[in-house]
Order: sequence, then structure tokens, then C-alpha cells
Amino acid sequence: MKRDMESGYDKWSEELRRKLEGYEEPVSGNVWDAISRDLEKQKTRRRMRLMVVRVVAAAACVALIAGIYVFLKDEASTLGTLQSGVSIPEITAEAQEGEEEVNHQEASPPSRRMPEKLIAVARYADSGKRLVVTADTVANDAVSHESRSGDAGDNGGNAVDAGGNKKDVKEKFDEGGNKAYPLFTGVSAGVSKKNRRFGVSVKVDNGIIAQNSSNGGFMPIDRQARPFGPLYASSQGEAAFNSSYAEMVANNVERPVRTDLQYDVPVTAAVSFRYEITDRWSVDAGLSFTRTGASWRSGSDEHYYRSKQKAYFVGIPVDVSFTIFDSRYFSFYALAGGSVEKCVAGNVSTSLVGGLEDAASNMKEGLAEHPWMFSVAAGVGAQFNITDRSGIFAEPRIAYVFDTAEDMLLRKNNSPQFNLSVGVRFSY
Amino acid sequence: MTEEEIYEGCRSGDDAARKELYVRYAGKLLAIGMRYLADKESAEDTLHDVFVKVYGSFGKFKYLGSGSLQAWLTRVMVNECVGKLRGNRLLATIPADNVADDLPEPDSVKEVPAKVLMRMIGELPAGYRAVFNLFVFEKKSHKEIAEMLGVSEKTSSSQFLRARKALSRKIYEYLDK
Repeated sequence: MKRDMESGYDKWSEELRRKLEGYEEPVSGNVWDAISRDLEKQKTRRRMRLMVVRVVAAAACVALIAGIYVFLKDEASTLGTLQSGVSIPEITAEAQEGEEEVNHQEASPPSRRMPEKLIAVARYADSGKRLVVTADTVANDAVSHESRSGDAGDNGGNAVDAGGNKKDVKEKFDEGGNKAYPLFTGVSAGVSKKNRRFGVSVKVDNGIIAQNSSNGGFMPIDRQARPFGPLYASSQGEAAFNSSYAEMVANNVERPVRTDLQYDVPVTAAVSFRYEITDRWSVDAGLSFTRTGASWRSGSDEHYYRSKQKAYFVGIPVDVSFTIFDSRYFSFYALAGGSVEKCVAGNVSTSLVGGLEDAASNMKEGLAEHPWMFSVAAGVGAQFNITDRSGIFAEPRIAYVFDTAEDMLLRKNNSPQFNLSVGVRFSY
Repeated sequence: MTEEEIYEGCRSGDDAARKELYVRYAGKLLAIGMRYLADKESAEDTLHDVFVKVYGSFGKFKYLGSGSLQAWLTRVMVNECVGKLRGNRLLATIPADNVADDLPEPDSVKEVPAKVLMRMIGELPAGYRAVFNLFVFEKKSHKEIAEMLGVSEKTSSSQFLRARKALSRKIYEYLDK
């Protein structure tokens, strides 16, 4: 063992170690103040993070439960062509005396060509009301409803309410008559044909970008590490690069130096799932992928280094929107929401410029830390409906990034900023 | 408050225990920072970072008896200092070569006040200082130092010898006055 071989050294170093063991330096009072402030910030961030996670989880749960509910409801409907949200009759197909039996399992809509004597009877699972379809009513493009208490009511096609009074509830089929889209509007109160629809959108936006800058002074390379905490070098020639860097710094001692920072416009691509809670309120939740980039140079005109940094984020955006205006071709809405994103990958490439050997003038480093980022945004959206089920939209917003990753150079910006998303949305 | 009570308190986020931890160890950790970084401002910045990191990492630390808390804090502080030195890229700028190895007299250290020794260590070049501190105070081998600093074993060894030579010269100069 080398230490044993160097017993003279061992005694000397042991003496030195013992001498300085327990030695203390007086600490400035403001260190604890700064630590206290940071601990407070951490607590706030943790609470914020927890809240965002809870909101995202709650929104995802609501969307999931709603999706399952509507899916099962649609599946359960033997009148599969009914619009979702309409009360579904339980098909008992009670053939009555003098009536021909109809196979309702086919769930086909009533046809104008039905046999004249045909009467089909179905029962609403939720209300217990019976649905009676007669040849007469069909011929008149109408369906009569009969309350349960009116079971013994007339068979002539007229409905009888609980009080025994005759009541016609005319519900027209659509213009096609034979088309499988009977409009049972009004059968289930408070639900319109447009309610409870889902949507899937694909969009891109310009992300959230920090401000470019140009300042006098030199930015040492070690400060590059600040955006994402310590970087680890992946190049074999780190020592050679460091020597070249030291040479470059020495060359600039007597020269004017400056630092220019330039940010690429981040590009975000997202897929989002929309659930329309009511005619006006919708919830969107999805998955986003963002690429960010920045480049900077620092040094004199002759001797400088140039760095390029790339980082990639994966996020979960959640939005709530309120429809202000809606027509066949155009809808206009307001929206607000938030996003939680995590940096998943990135790297920094640095080149030294100015009379240095190529072999020692390049360095590529990866990210050692993968910070989280939280943001909120509010804005408006406009959608042009190309068909009944698809449309293109644009959503300008004002976004704000929380100060949850102070060292994140690429996307940190404590002031609200403009953000535009454009995309395609499909509804079903 | 015992060390274990401080540990339990910090673990559960108790502010009084956090303050006690700071009061008890901040001075020692700052001295370590000064040995590595040689600059009070940088050392205090690092001390700040270390405490913030430590308070958030108590869940990962397992208390193993008296002295383990201080050992952990020291390790975190040393790693943070080494990280800063690596970031500054000052460690590998000195070539690895053979240095004459003349052993200093062990007793010479006893006669120099601790404060003066701290100043002398601080005056060593950053590369020397890091290797010297890791070898002498953290008792790391040159192989471990080479891995920690991203330099060759030979560089670590030669930087240590240079550091020791430079320091012993300073000590003798001080004693000769």
C-alpha cells in the first residue's frame, strides 16, 4: 500500500488532519436566511407540484370515468343509432294481440315501409315508461309514448298520461325517414344531441421561450452547467479540452469580451383527448413532447467558445374550455389550464474558436439532471369545422412558467408570454 | 438536542431541528468548503446548496449511530465542492509529471496555527488543493481520486506530491520567520 510505503508522509498528513479536525470557520448570518427562504420556496413548490398532480389525476379520472360511462351506455343501447345521452328503451318487444311481432334485436329504426298493423313496444330502463310504435304513428312520422300507468290505454296509437289524459308526444324522424338517426330529442330532459361528445386533437405550438440577450463580459463555461445542474462529460478528451479552454481564457485577458444568448423557438407537438361535459364546458387532457434549443457564444472576437444546447420535455397538459359561440362551421371558446413537464433528455456541444487544435476544441456533454417544469395558461380558441366531425383550430394563450427549476436556462421565464397552438380536432 | 434527535427532527421536517443541525455543523462544513474552494463566498454558496440539498434528502439517509450524521454531511459537502471544481475545469490543467518527493518533517505542522494552515492550503492551485484534500482529509486513494475528478491516477499522484511540496515549503517559510 502506497500509504504504508510513505510512512513519513502518513505521519505528516495525519498530523495535519488532526490539526484541522473540528476546525470551524465563522459563517455569515445571511446564509441561514437564504437557506430558510429556499426551504419555504421548496415547501411552496412541493405543494404546487402536489396540487398540479392532483388536478391532472382528477381530470384524467373524470375523463376516464366519463369515457367508460358513455362507452358502456352506447354499447348497451340496442337502438345503437340513438345519439348518446338519450334515455334507452329496454327492448321487450311485447307483441300484443292482433299485432305482428317485430325483431327488435336488429335495432333498426322504424321504417316507412313497415307493415300496416305493426306495433312494437319497448320500455325505458330508467323511467319505466313504455315506448309504443304503431303503424299509424310511423306513417305520420311520429312516435307515441305512453306512461306506465297508461298500459291499459288505447291501442290506437295515442299515449295516455298518468292522469289518464291523452297526450301526443310527437317526435319526428329525420328527413330521410329510413335513415338510422331518429331524433328522440326531449325524451330525456336536459340532454341535447350535441352533448357528451369526445374529441381527439393533434396540435403544434411555439412553446414557451426565454428572452435572447447580449451582454458585455465573459460567461465561464462552468456556468453552462447551470441550466440543468451538473453536466457530465462524454468526450474522451476532456483534459485536452480543458487545457485549450484555459488557453482561450488566457488569450482574452486583455481583450474586450461579450456573451450572446440566443434561444430557438421551442416546438411542442401534442395529442389531446377532449370530453365535453356539457354543451359549453369541456375538459382536455393529453400528452405533449417539446424540443427546445439555445446557443450562445462568449469571449472576444478572436478567441471565443460557442455552445449549443438541446433539451427534450415530455408533459401532460390539462385544459378546461368554455364555448362562447358555436355554429355548424365555427366555434369560439375560452380556455384555461396547466401543464406539468419533465425534461427527459438533452445535451450541450461546445466548440472553442481561435487558433486552437481541432482535436482539443470540441466537447459534448449530457444532462445529469432532469428537472420538472410547471406552467399555467389562459387564452381563447377558434375552431373552423370542416365536416361535422373534424375541424381545425387555433388557440392563442398567455402562459406563465412557475419558478420550479431555477436553473433551467432554456425555458425559464418569469414573465407571462404569448403562446400559439394550431391543430386538428376530431369529434365523435 | 442529541444527534439522533436532530436526525429525527430533520426527517420529519421540524424547523427547530433544522436550525440546530445548521448551528452545529455549518462552521465545520464551511471550513471544509474553504479548504477546497479557497474562497469564502464560493464556500458559503456551496454551504447553502448543501444544506438545502440535505434537508430535502433526509428520507434517503439512514442514521447509523453517533457520528454518522456528521460523516454524511461532510461527504455531501466534499462532493459538492468537487463538483464545483470540476465545473470550473481547473483540475486537469496541470500536466502529470514526476516530482521530487522530499518528505516534510511531521512535527513541523504542530507549530503552525490551524487558521494559518487553512490559509496556506487555500493558496494552493485548485488542482493541487482538490487532490490534497481528498488524499489527506478524506483518505481517498489516487485511484478513487482519479475517478472522482476525471483525471488519471498519475495526475492525481503528481498533483498531490506538488501540493505537499508547496505546502511544506510554506510551513517552513512560516516557521523561519
